[in-house]
Amino acid sequence: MLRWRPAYFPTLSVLVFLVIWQAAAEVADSTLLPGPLAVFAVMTEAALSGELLPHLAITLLRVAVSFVVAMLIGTAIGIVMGRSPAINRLFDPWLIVLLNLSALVIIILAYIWVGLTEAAVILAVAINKIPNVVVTMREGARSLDRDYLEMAESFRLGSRKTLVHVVMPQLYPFLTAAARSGLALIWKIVLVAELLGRSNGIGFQLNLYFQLFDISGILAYAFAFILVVQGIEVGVLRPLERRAHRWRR
Amino acid sequence: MRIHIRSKRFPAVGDAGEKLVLENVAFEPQPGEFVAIFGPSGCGKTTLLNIVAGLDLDFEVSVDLNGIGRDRPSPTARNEPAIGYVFQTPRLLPWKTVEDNLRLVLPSEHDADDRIEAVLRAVDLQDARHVYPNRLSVGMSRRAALARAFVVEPDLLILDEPFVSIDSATANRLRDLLSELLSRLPTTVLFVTHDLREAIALADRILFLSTHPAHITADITIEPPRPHRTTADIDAFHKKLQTKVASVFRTGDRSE
Repeated sequence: MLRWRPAYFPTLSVLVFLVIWQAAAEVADSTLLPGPLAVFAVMTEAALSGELLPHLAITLLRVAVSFVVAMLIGTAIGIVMGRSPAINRLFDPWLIVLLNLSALVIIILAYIWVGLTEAAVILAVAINKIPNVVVTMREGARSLDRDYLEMAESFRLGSRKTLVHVVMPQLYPFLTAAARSGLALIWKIVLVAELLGRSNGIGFQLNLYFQLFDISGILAYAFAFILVVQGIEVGVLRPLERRAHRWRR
Repeated sequence: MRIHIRSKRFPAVGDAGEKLVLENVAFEPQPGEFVAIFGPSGCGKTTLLNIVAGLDLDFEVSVDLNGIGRDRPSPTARNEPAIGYVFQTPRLLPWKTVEDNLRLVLPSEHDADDRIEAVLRAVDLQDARHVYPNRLSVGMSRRAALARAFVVEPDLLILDEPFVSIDSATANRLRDLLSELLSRLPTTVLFVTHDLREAIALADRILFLSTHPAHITADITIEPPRPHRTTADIDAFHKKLQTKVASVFRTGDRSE
């Protein structure tokens, strides 16, 4: 017999959500609110016809590249700003401007200045995400333990060993926080960029289904990508996190 | 090796004005000599050690670490003398096992395994080599910190009250361990303590520091020389010194 254990809660909660959704769809009985079964049918059909995967792949590639670019640049800037009060005071106003600049404005400007290219998408998405990474990593860099840094210095570890073995392990929690919020933010922005100026990808398809008023199609593509992101969370982020935390009591 | 600190100030913070911590502290440890630095808490002993270790660069000073005369080439890349620092708290990296904490401070992979093996055996931690520091007892962490300082085969070993806040039985075992490690690998030692008996038991020479600002008030060589010192010798010397210490620190140093 199934015991009432918290381990089942996520599955249970998803099931409850799907049941409520399906029930609402039955009651509404409208093309404007297709149920999960209908959406799943469209998703399978699109996958089998070979239409879904190329769009999913190109979007995933754009997400991956801009994610890596944003994490690398944001982490580097964040560490420098967290360690140097002077540089922080100098660039903090820039950071505030970037943080509050609308994603849409950045995408439009990137398309106008760089052209309707892949580079413009990556640039726009990275610029959107970098300030968030900087803020998180700056917090991490400020909280670095002076005791460990002194230890590294007194044993003359040098800057490379200090960064890899002393600084980065202290930043892992901040890095995973930035990665998690980054993944969610970036794929949303990539869709907008695709909708505005690309001829493939999930965002482009959503635009197509929007013009056709095909809600099932829109939801099918959206949920296909949610499944992928969830897969990355479970398959990549969590194992990495477990590895990084295995020393904790 | 020559250390001469003309002055060290802490900048003004908030309402507290600029503070002169060290003034005219000069001494020359001989190669292989064990120098204990004795003084009340908060008198600037740790500051002094950090200056010698190169952690604090904001001072008027000359620290000449050359001529710690050893025949073997210095293991560090810049040909600086190797320093082993044992801090007040162990400061082991919690995300690395005991073995990896030791491996990290070694400048090269060359013979790293042998050196780690030997020093872990010396401090009796072979069985804990794959353990993370969070799971070590206090005494084991202190031993691991000693091992880390010794594994670099330091030209200069710096110990900052390494045996405070542990029970006296463990502290005694660790003192014996330190003496034993030093007999295997003679090293110039700077040892800060506010335990006079501990200083007498371990050192060749004791520098007495006063407070506000700290300067050397006495420089006493301990008789008879290490390592032929018995408990009775230590007690006798301790008694003799206590009267002297009382006069040195008469000017209200217990006001911490």
